Amino acid sequence: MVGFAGVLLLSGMWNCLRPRGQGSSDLFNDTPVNQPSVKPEGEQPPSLFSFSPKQISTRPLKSLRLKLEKSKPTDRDDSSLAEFDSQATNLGDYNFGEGYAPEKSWGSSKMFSWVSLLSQYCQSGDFSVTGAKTLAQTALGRTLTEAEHLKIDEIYASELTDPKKYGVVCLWAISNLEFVSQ
Amino acid sequence: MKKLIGLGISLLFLGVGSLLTTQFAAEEPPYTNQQLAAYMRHLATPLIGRSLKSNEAFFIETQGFKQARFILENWMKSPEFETSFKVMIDDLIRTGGNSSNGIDFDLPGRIAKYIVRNKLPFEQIITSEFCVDQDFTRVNCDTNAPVGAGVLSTRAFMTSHTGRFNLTRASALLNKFACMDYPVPFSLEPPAAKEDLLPEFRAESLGDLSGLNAPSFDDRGNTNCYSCHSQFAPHSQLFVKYDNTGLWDANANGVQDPERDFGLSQGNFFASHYANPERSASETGVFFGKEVKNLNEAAKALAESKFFYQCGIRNTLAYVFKLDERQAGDINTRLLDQIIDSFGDEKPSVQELFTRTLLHPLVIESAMKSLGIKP
Repeated sequence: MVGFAGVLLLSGMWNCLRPRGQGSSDLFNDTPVNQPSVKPEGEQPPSLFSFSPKQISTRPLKSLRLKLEKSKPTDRDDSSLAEFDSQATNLGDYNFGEGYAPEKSWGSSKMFSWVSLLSQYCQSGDFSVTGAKTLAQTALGRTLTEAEHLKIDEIYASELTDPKKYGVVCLWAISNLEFVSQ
Repeated sequence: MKKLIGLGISLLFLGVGSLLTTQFAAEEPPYTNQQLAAYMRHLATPLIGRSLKSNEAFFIETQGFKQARFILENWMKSPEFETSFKVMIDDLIRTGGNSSNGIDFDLPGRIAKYIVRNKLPFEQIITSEFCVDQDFTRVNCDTNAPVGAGVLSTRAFMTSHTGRFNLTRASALLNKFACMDYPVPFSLEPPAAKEDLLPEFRAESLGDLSGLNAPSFDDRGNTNCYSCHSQFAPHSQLFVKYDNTGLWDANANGVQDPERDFGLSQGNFFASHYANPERSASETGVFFGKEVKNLNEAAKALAESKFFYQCGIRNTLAYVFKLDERQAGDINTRLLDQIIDSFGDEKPSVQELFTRTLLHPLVIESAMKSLGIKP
């Protein structure tokens, strides 16, 4: 429990450290997409195309499931996502056959479930500091910032075992708002 | 060593690609290659379910638009893009998932995947006369209707949009694939003749409704029933032979069952708007002013209009950038029409629709601005 809380705190702290415009996923808007409605001709807004953030939302769970697979392409243990898959609708996946619509909000309870169900995913991999940084960069799709490098180095300088250090970095990367919403 | 070989192959691959992609060569763009790479980062997950790779970012940052286009086109060839388009369609029409009560909720998604996999025209999402089974072989659709109409002619779509008078099905067709709500301009969809409709739908004011079995206003407080229902009538008629589980029956007649709620016909069917029993039993309708024999012809009439493509582009941008209904509705039609013009005379595939849309200079610039991607 303390470990999860630490990860969440770390994640929040790092989001604050990262400058806007460099993968700042909080710029994303939310609300499900459907049902755009056309305004009558001649009543168009002046800009051709614009949007602004209103609330935080995740990508569809099926996209995130793919993203998890691709984040560890060379070291993927299929069973590590079995528990995640079994709880997919609780994490917001849709299944209209069973009456589940997509649920794309991202709040503390879903974040907690997300981290809990992915702890096994973060228990395998290249536990070295390079391995942890590679995972984070692959998951986020960008070069890590200097602040992020320093934080990971700091974690790897701690007394924790390498698998635990790796687990902290891994959980930070895949529970990052940038990962789930972008 | 493996990484070096991989990078070498990537360099060769992308180098050849850049030679092949000259069509989009343009003037100096108003953004840097770094900004373009940041923009592509926002496209990767919705399109292929992964983040931008470091080598992709490198090539975009060093070679710019041509590489971005080459990479995007490669993404469109991946099985992951098939899945992404399925997710987009599922989200749009509220389908996808397990089979339930004999209804295959994943059928619309398979049609979407099949269309992408075979690079069929985008319009086939609503006009294809076939459905596809688990092995992606063409089969008849599961409604038992004589002719299919893409995802519309699936029991999953039909059951996700049941409602009295088939109003929900007609609304979904117009709303999801033309991005319009009722009433649409009469110049686009001429109203049904008042005398052909049930008396309740002829009313244009509260006074007209006295003594009739109908609500006095709709959920928007509108007391002019005729303004919307005169257009609902020819659209909802296309669904009159589909029951509440999506099964088609030639014998359905659309006549109001006097023993049941307003809008319900006999059996599991929904009532027609039309007063004449012969007319109420016919699934012929009118769509955007064109007389159509059935749902398939209506879908084709819709797909022939620019509104279908405008809506497809709105839905694409809404899916990729997570726009809400208002934001998608606010996209300027001049931009949409420019993208449509770029299709030329050919009917675009899903891949072409996405590529032309997401690489349109104004889309890139506008999205960069909204996403806060700065030099």
